[in-house]
Amino acid sequence: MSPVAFSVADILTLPPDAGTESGLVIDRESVEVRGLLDRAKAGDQAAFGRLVDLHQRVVYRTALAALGRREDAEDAAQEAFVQAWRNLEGFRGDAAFRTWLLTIVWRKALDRRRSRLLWWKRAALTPDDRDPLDDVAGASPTPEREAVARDLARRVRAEISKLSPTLRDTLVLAASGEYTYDEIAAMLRTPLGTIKWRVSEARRIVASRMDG
Amino acid sequence: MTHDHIIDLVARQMTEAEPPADLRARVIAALPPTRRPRWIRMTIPAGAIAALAIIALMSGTVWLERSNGPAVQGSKGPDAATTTRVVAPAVAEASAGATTGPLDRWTVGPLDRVDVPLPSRVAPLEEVVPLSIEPIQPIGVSIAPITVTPLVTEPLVVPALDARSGGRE
Repeated sequence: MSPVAFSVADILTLPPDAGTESGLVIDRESVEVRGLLDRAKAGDQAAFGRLVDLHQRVVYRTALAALGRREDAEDAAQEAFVQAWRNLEGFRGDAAFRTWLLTIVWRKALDRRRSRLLWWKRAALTPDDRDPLDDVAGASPTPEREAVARDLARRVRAEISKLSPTLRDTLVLAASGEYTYDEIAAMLRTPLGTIKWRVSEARRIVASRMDG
Repeated sequence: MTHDHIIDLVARQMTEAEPPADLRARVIAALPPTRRPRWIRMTIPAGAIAALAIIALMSGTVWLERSNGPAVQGSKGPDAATTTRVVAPAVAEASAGATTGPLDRWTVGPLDRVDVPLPSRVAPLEEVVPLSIEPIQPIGVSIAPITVTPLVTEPLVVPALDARSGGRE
């Protein structure tokens, strides 16, 4: 373990499994979702609104993972839900509704990213963006350690942003704890083994750059 | 805490945000007012395909009629030599009083090769009796009687071939 890692471990008092929590994973289509799907397919907008309630968090975060800006993520999430409504009768249930929805929002987000070149703008934080590293720094007990933690976390984030889009997307989705690897594979239309390799490779690259 | 934990933590925080409270309302407001039933949406393309098929069928029929028409009139039929060979026996039979049926076949057997030395003098054609042919089948299609006037020809003199040139001059 590198000296940097030791110092971070001293500063941050986080649970060891913080990066593997997965509270929203749904293995099977729930009875409620199936019933809502049937009603929504019949044109019931209220039922579809309930489906939006159940999935808006994961859909929004998926868009945010690809776009990096909240405003764009909101628009992408909205477009994804509308397209899902339009294509609802084409959903045959081969995959879970949630996976189907994630695939739609991921494509929408990528379209926006390509069309507006947000990928390049995302590297620089805009003033209205909340810095997520505040949470990391806030865990440090003293101002001095807090400053060190902030600096370290900022460097990690910068290195993640420098990754290729393929590696970065996979790493962020996997680290978010919102999705199973199977769902990520479905979203990115990539074999499961490749997804696992990308996560490992992204971590290795970032870690090596931090050590360097 | 390892590097991986730090990286995962930072990566996760890059997407840790809650959706706007009005996202559902925005989505519902953006939905199309009514969704057409599936059978209506299927009928439109099906009708378009059927219309195209009908147009294509009619166009193909017209094209076939146009392409087959000239063949009946002779442009794509047997060449003149073949026609002459076929008609000639029929005419001969008709002139001999034989019963003529409808001409429904154009096939003619191969001609036998006849090696006859060319005469140096060709006799004039014999007088041809005027020929009259009854209308040919099918019923409903009438052909006016054909009258062939006799030809009067002069004797034809052909010079003898020069054997030394091999007949190629």
